[in-house]
Amino acid sequence: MSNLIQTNEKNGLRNSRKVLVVANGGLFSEMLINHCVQLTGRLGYDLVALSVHTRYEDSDSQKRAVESAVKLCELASLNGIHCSTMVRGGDIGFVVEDAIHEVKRVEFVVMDSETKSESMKNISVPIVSILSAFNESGGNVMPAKREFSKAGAIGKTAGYGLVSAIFCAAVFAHADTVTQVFSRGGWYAALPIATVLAFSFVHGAFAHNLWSLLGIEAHRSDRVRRTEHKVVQKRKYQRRRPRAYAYVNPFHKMGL
Amino acid sequence: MHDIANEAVKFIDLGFFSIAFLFVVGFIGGLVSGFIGSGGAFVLTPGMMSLGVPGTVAVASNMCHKFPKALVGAYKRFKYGQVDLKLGLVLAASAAAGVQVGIRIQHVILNRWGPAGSDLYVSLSFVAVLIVVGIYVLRDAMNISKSGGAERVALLARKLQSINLPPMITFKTANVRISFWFTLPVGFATGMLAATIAVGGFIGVPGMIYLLGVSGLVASASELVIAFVMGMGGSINWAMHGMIDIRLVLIILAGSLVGVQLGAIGTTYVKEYMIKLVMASIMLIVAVSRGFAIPKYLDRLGLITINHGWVTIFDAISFISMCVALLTGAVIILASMWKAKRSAFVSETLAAEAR
Repeated sequence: MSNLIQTNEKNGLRNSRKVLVVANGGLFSEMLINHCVQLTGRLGYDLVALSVHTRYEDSDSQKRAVESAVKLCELASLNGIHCSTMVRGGDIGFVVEDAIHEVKRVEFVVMDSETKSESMKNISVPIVSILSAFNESGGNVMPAKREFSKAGAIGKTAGYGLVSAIFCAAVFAHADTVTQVFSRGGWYAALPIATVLAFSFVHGAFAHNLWSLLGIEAHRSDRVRRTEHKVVQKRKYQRRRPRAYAYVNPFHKMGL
Repeated sequence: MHDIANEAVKFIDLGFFSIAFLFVVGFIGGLVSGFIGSGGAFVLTPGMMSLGVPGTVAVASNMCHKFPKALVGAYKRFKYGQVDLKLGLVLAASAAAGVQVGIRIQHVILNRWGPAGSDLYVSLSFVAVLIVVGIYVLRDAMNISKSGGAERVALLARKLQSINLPPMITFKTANVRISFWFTLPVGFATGMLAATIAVGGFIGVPGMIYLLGVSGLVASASELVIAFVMGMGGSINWAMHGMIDIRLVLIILAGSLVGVQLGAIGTTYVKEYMIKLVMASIMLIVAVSRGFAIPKYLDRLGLITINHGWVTIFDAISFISMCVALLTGAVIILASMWKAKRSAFVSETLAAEAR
């Protein structure tokens, strides 16, 4: 937590334009994270993640808020975007207004459409609302991803595993006959080829579900990676902006 | 020929140890090939032979497990947007020609110098290709690692891409536009190496990276397409001769299909140069392993004379170091995945840097 306060203190030193991302209840939704990272990447702005929680929330909620903000910052850093995190407690309207004054050069605020507060109307910079994936009770309204159902995954894994085991058992129970028929050659060649293809389908599906069940799934798509490189290149280019110079004699280059 | 296969198949003792060995090697081989596009075959063939499977049946069964594994790996990585199907198919076509030439060369050497000469040729090819390419890939991976992890297109690849020699082909996923004529040698060499040492990917993937300018990620994923096409063709050929032992194939597949998916998932976690690092490490250790096999073949050809005891020791070292190569690859993959998984620590560092 103290690190985050330091982040906040040093943040004011950077003189670049910023986008303030606000998460009410402390958690940044997947959709909000993706949108902000891509938006700031395109604009060449910096990102400030502000996680707001009410004062009476327990330490677990605060911990989750910090984790969520750090996750956003990690993705931003991978895309070559400068990002800092802030965790604050209190009324969202006041906290956001304070943050805007504190970090300086906040061009606009991005938040979930579900983040409602009367005091938000008094914010001095434009607010962009992102259609949230969460409703007020915390359930998924419009899930960006298919929700992972553990019972379904267990059922699928067990089902494919069973079929796969039966497949192997059938071959090994009649091993002599099977190997003898499969190794006759000629048109019988289709048998081993078809068998391995069928087995790869069943066992492949089993393996896929098994890894999903164990929580080992693809980290990010390659599309994200490509954007990463492009954004990094763009930002490098933007940093080489020519400076404006003021001359005493504006016609000195014209040879007049 | 059919009878020999049947006899051999009947008399293989598939005890618990054999099944466990094949399953584990299949899993680790699958993990490595899901990650770098190839691998595992170089341990499986000698491994099966050490269990008493005749050479031809071992080669045929190995190939028959390779193509469904490559299919599953390619499908998985296709979903992650890493496979350039067009690149894979174009290279697979020229690789097919390479395989034919590779087999002819093998036949010529076999007729002239016998089995020992053929084995010597295979081992020398292994050592020469793997050391040269392995050192180059390793140096590149180290440089990328030092310079911050961003891959750059090789100078040679950029030059080749700038030559407008029709027909030019655009590979969208790989984001490369290059003349068809430059893809030919890469595919051809992949096929030739596949026919010689059974692991074409050791030249196919570096070829795609350094000659065509494809990223390591797309190259290793597209290599799976090549492996599938070539493996399927080869398997049909072996199956028509009745050489495939379906039991061995199913046991290896049971492990490798689980491993290949983990390897494919692994590519989405790690930095791109890790693919090069894993590939180079495996290539160099395998080269050392094959180097230990050379004195035996030189002895058989009568070029040198060594003690029989030494031959046995060298054989053991050769096989163990091959297993070490595969294990090293697997350990690097799993360790880097584990590292990436614990991204909370990484993110704290990144947040600290951002300050």
